[in-house]
Amino acid sequence: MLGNLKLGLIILLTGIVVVFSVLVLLILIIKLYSTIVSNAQNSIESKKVEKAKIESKPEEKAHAVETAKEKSDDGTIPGEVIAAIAAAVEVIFGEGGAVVTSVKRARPQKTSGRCSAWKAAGMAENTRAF
Amino acid sequence: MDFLTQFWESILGIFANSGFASLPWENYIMILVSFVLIYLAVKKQYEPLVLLPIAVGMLLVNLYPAIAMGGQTQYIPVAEYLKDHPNDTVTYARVMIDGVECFAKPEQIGGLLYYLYQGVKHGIYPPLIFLGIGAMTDFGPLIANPKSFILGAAAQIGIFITFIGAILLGFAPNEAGAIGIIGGADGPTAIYVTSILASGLLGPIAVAAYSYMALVPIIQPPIMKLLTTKEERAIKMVQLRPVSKLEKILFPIIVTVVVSLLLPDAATLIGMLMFGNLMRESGVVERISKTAQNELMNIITIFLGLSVGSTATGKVFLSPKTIGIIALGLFAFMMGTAFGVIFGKIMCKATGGKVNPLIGSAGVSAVPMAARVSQKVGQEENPSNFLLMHAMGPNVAGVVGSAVAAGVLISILK
Repeated sequence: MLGNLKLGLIILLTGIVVVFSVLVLLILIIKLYSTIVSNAQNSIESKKVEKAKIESKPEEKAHAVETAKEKSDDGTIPGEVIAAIAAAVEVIFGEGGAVVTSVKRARPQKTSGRCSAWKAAGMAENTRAF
Repeated sequence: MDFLTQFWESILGIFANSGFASLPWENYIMILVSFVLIYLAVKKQYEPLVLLPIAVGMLLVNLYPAIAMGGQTQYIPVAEYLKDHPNDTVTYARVMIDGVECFAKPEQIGGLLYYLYQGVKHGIYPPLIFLGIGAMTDFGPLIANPKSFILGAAAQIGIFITFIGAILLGFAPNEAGAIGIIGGADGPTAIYVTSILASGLLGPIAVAAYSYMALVPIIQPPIMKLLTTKEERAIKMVQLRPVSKLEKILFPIIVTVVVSLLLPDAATLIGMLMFGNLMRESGVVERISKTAQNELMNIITIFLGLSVGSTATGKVFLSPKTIGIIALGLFAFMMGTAFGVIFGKIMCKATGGKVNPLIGSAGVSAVPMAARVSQKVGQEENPSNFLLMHAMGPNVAGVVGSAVAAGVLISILK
C-alpha cells in the first residue's frame, strides 16, 4: 500500500508537470506562429494596397466603368448598376485585385426540360471526384 | 405414446437450454440495470447516442452470454487426423504445439459482440472517434486565445488526485489510472486508457464516464457557483480576434508534431484528432471530412457502445469495485471542474478582471456541453453576457489535455 501511495504521488507530480509543460509549450508555439503568420499576412496586404493605390487612380476607375458600360449589352445596363457590381468585385478581390471589363445581363433560365438549380447542385455534390 | 414422450423431452431440452434455466441471478439484475439505462437514454436523453448502444450491449450479453464469447479451436495432431480421415482434403491451419504439428480445427465460431469487441481490445475505435471529433471541432477560439490551454491543463488535475484516491481505496495502480481518467470527461479517452490498463473494468468505467458527461449540467453549476463571486460570474470578456485559415491549418500539424515527440503514448489519440481537424480546415477533402464527422463516427459509435456494453456482465459489474468506480469517477469529475474554476480565478486576477472564471469549468472536455454550462451560468448573473465562444477555448483544450494526461498514465503504468 505504501509503495502504491508513493507511486500515486509520483504520478500526481509527473502528470501535473508534464500536462502543464506540454500545454504551456503549445501556448508559446501558437503565439509565435500566430505572430509570424499575421505579420506575414499584414505585409502582403499592405503591399497589395500600395500596389493598388499606384495602379488605380480615381479617373482610371471612372474610365473603367465607362468602358464596361460601353461593352455591356449595348449600354442598356445603367452605370450605377455597373459601378455597384465593380464595387462588390473590389470588396471581394481587394483593391486592384480584379477589373470589371464587361457586364452581361443573364438570360432568365428556362426550367422546362432542364435541371433545377437544386437538382444540379445535388448532382454536382454527389458526382464530384475525390 | 412415443410421440408424446419425444415431444415432452424436446420441450424439456429447449427449457434446459433457455436463459431461465442457465442464467445466474446476477444476469437478471444486469438486465434490469440495462432497462434503467435504456430509460435514461430514451426518456431523459442522457447521452443517448452512446448510452443506448451500451445498454443494449449490456442487455444482450446478460440474456445470451455466448454473444460475447470467443470461438473455440480444437488442435489435432496432423498424423493422427490423417490416419483417421485418409480421404479428407484438409484446409485447416497448421500450428506447432510442443514440437508436434497440429491442425487448428475451428469447433465453434465466436459471438457477434466478441468480434466487435476486438476494436476496443486493440484500441481501434477510440482513435477513430477522435478522428470524427477532430473533423467536427473548430479550434479557432483556442488559437485566438491560447492561454485557454492553461484551463484545459488545470481541469486534468482531478485525474491525478483521483488516482491517489483510488490507490487509498485499494485499487491496483493500473486500475486507479483507468478510474482517474474518468475525470477527463472524455468517453473515448477513458475507454482507450482502460482497454490498455485495466480491460476488466471497461464496463463500469465507460458507464460511469458517459453518465457523468450526461450529468454535466447538474454536477458543474453548484461547484462553479461555490467557487466564484457574483461579480466574477458577471464579468464580460472582450471579443476574440478572427483567426486566419493558415493558422487553423498549421495548428493540427504543430500540435501533432509537438505532442507526439514529447509524449509518444499520446500520439495515437492526438494524431487522429488532429488529422480529422486538418481535413476540416484544409477544405480540400470535404467528402472524407464529412464521412469522418457523420457516417464513420456513427458506425464506430454503434460498435463501441455495443462492445463496451457487452463487457458489463453480472459477475464483473455487480462487485464492490463498481461502487468504488462510480464514487471515484464523480469525485474526479468534481475535482476537474473545481481546479478549472480555481485556475480561471487565478487568470482573472492576473489579467485584472478580464477573464470570467466560469470558463475554467469547461476545461473538462465534454464538448460542447461544458462550454454551454459556462454560458448558462454566466447568463444567469448577466443576461447580456455571452461566454460560449470564450468557453470553447478551454473546452477543446481539455480534449488535448485529457489525451496528454492519458499518454502520461499509459507511459507510466503500462
